[in-house]
Amino acid sequence: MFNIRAVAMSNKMWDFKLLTGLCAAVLLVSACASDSAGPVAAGDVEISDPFEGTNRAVFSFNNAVDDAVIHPIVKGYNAAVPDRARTSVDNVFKNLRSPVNFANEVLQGDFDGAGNVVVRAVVNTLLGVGGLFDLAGYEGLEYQSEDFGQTLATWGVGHGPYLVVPIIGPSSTRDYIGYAVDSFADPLRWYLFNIDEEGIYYGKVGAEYLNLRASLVRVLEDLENSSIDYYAATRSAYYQRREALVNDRNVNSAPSINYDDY
Amino acid sequence: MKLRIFLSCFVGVAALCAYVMAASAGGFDYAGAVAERAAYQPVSANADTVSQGAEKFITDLVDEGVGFLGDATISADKQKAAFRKLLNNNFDMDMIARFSLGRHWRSASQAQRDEYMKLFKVMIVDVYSARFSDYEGQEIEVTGSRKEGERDILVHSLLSQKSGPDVQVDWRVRQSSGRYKVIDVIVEGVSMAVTQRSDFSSVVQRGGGNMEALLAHLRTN
Repeated sequence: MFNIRAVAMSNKMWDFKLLTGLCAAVLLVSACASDSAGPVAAGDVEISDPFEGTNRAVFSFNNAVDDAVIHPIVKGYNAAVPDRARTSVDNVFKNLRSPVNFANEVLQGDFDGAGNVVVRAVVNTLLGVGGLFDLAGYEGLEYQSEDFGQTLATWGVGHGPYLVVPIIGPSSTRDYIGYAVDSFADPLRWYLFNIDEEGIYYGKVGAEYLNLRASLVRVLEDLENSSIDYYAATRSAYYQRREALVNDRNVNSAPSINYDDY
Repeated sequence: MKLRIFLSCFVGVAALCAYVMAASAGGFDYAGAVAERAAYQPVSANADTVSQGAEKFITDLVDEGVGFLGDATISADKQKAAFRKLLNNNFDMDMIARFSLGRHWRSASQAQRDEYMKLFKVMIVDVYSARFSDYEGQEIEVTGSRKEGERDILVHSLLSQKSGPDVQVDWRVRQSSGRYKVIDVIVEGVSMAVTQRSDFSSVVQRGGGNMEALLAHLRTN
């Protein structure tokens, strides 16, 4: 008993140090993001990609891994598992993300959104059999993915340099830090680590990743086939998509692109 | 054990917060919240005749496309020809091509512009007909529209998939000389025109700022 608590304690201390470090890093990034060289325009969003050489190398590596490992797995999954079952798997992961979504809605000051997260979690967990069925979504309370990268964006923090992370893929300095913060702060992780079930947590992370990749495989193949410079097209699509998520896909804040300059 | 207690508290506090917020916002009315969202969707469905016309234009366009894309008896070549016609009639190809080239349009010579235009139109038909070749009868429903800028209308639609959530597809429509034309398609916030422009711009930049690099790629397609 005492040992478990000691482990829990040291975990928490470690988390705290990491979080403090990450916060410092965010401040640093947002401070020096403005003078990084060579912004590229994607829509009206400026993209800073000072590590383009490294990013392109990692991008190629990721594509090789996708072709050799990830895509065969997720294509097999998509082909073998019926649509409804895959939707249910997706629903369960979305439901498990509720605490993270809730915390970020609150941090963004979006209390309507936070309320929606709670109603969704309660309805889908109790009536939707542990999240297998998205009854709330069916009734019009749609799922919104919130993460700490979006929260930082609503606080006015810019993307910082574009990053392609091994295995994980396109990100930005801000969004990658956000991803780390969400992962560390996830109550589900705290809980599983404290009952010494790290294995379950890592299994969940892996399964969640494959679930995401299964939903993206066709989109990415499309993008690759329709582009000459797949790297540049992905980078642009990533920034646009993140912009849409930050604005909560609000139809009244769709991208303002000037179509008449050319 | 402590964490279980903590988690219960977290859920409890969260539920309490939600209740208080809902109550302060005028009573906890789940059905009301749903109805409100539903009413919120068709942003300006009946705002004026221009947007009505644009919505009808997209509805007809989608119906026409679905008509031959969903028809398995039509050969791939014929589908592509029908698709080319559909694109040329309903999309402002010159505008999309110019936009996709971005600032390099201005520095291009007339000969380069002419060749680019020709190649771009071929490429777009190839890309889009390949994209829609695995069409599986998904339904697209126009949900509303709004004015965008001075001259454009953004028509919102939802594409329902067999698995996974609906995909939001927005069509940017411009009226010129009495006809509606699509100038951009935005899928879940990602604009095809903007993505195309970033792609082309990178190719030109990496080719030393020379448009020939892009033309060379387009020629091999």
